[in-house]
Amino acid sequence: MSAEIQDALRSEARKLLEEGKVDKILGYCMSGDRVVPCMVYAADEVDKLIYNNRCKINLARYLRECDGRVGVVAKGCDSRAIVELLKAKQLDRSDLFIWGVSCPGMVDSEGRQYRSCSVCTHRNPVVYDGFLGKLVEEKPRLKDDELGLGSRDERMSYWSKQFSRCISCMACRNVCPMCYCKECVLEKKDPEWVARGGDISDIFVYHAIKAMHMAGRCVECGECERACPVDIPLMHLYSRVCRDVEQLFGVEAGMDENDKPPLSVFDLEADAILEENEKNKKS
Amino acid sequence: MEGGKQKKKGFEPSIVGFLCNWCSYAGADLAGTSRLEYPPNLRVIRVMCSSRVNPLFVLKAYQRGADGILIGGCHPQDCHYMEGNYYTRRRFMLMRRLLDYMGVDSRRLRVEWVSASEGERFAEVVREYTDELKKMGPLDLKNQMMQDER
Amino acid sequence: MKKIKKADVKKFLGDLKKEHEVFAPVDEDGVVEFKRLSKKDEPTLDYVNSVVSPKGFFLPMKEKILGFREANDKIELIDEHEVGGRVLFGIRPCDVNGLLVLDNVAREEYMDPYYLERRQKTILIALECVKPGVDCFCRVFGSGPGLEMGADLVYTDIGDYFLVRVGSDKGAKLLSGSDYFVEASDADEKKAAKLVDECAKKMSNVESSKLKLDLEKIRDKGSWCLNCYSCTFICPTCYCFDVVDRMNPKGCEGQRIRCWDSCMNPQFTLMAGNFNPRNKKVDRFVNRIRHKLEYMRDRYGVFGCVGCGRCVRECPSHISMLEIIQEGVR
Repeated sequence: MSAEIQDALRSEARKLLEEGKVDKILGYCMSGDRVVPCMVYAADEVDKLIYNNRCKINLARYLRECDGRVGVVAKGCDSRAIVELLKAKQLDRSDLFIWGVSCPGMVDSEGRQYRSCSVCTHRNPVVYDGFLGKLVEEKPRLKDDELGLGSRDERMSYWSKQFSRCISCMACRNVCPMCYCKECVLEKKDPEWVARGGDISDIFVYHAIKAMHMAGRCVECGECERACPVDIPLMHLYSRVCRDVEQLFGVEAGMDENDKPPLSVFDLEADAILEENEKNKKS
Repeated sequence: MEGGKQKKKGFEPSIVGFLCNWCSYAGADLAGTSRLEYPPNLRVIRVMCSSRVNPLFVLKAYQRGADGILIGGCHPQDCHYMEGNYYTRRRFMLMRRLLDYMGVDSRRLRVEWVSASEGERFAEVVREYTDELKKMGPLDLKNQMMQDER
Repeated sequence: MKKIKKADVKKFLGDLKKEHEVFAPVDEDGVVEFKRLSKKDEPTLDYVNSVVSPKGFFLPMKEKILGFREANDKIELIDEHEVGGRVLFGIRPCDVNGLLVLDNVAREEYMDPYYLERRQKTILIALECVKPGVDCFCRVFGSGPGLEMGADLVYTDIGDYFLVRVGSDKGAKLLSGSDYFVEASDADEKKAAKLVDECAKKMSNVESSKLKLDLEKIRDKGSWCLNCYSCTFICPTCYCFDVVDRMNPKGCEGQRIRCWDSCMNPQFTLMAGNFNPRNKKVDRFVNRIRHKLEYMRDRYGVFGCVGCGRCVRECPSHISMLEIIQEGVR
């Protein structure tokens, strides 16, 4: 089915570029044996565009830095990231032409499916101007946390162990399509919230605050996990925060451009009930 | 406050209290002027509104050795800035869950609504929270994580 | 030349532990890292390379350079750094060459005593490669898969045995004090040479001496760089660091800390007055590439890239150093 999408994408892209509706097209192409993001400016270049099950990169991250009118290929997670960026006024919808494509679930060079893709519940795009290919069936959300961490102490020791590998390279922040702040609190030097060359508790603060900032925004594309050189399962943290936001405030990230950011709105009565419930919950 | 792993026995928790200028801080003031007694474990930081409290403050306090955090704001519908405490409510509801997931007992983060006239209630909240933390023992995030590192 | 049974390597390392701190690659949940061997750790002998380069043993991610405190109206400096004898087992040829590159930096004009002391007190036992990794391109720079110099002992996998070559007096001393080594035959030596040679043949090769960077193409590639810093942190030859003075919250004392920094960070070149000579992402990318492939070559006569392939493997945008080099040679 990917081949169909690829053909349709090329012809659509050619048409749009010829008609002058967009200045450029952000998609995927091959470089050696790797799938890389690429930009197509002219109609005669469209044949380099590809689409297959190796196109894991979230293009919204690159879209943020584009100017002019852009045509973009968007899988489920790309489109949700675009929605989130639109909500945050980081993109202008009128500049975008989005081709929605359904995602077969991306695999790495050895054919193993990425973890983020194997738990993905939104393979179909949520926002698009044109749809290529066919919708795929969505998988239900896993009920339990995969890590299956039991007691609180177990969780603490699990995360301590994971964080002990962290080399503070900040790749998780820098590849995140949602991290668009010009000045980041994790790198601020005065005050230095997260100490450079600090100990493991600084790493804890780093990841905890990043997770708080992902509340209601993480689209679970898994870029952070893939970028992490030492393979810390970061998406678990962000997914957990997003599940909590869904449970508490009933908003799922990246689904609707008109949703309000969950932490900057309130619902007087509902929140009061929630507060009561949370208090009574056995910790 | 940093360092030193205290023994559970005779353990005195340190609590950082972020109190809103208009209600909880005034409530604490009233408790003081009314000569009500409450444990000295609370270190108060005055903020203009409870929604001023960034989750970073909480994490940083844990890192520097706090055992519990008390965030005090105006009662719902009484916020000096009309709606500040509603954001506080949502924010820390979420943060408590995150902390729990990362292995920090969510009881170590408490949000209370105390008005300027509730001096007695303020003292009661601090007494009760101190007792609770005493039972829970020290958090000592830094050392706990270092032990678990390997 | 000598050889050692593979099964004896662990015992040999165990003996070394009596007098040295021993570090070896350990596989933990699929992540291979050099770790100090404790009782329960099993060193792995079947690995391509560690995820993060072992440069951290000489230029740590963070290190306390000194402590200071105020006492009796005087400022007292405390030199706290102390390094004992260490053995780093299983370092790959590319990383040994990476250290040789770093040596140039540490010895240039201002000596780096912290780095040099660690270098001096660490015995390197290298393990030559007989199976290339997918992203390895050390052959381009001649920094692998075989190793000519830089290590105290060089192991080569020849099936049931490791062939052991002595690279220095320190290495020879280790050998003489151990019973696990037996004399190797000519056939063993030939086999090792053949295996390494075959490994090299499987890797891509270009004439690095003809390298002339095509800046236009690099900028083109750089436009996709996310400036994520991960390449600089895992690279065996990236040495940029930052020095921070940090006060303890309690009392008049503090520490001076040196930690890794990254040229990909916009704050790296930020000056007072908010001027930034490398303000654009792509400029920072080009700088990194030119530093590795041009500046270091011009300055020290060696390339700053050793072809370990870590950056190729980890780059989220899949920007390939090898491709850049290939384009530069064409």
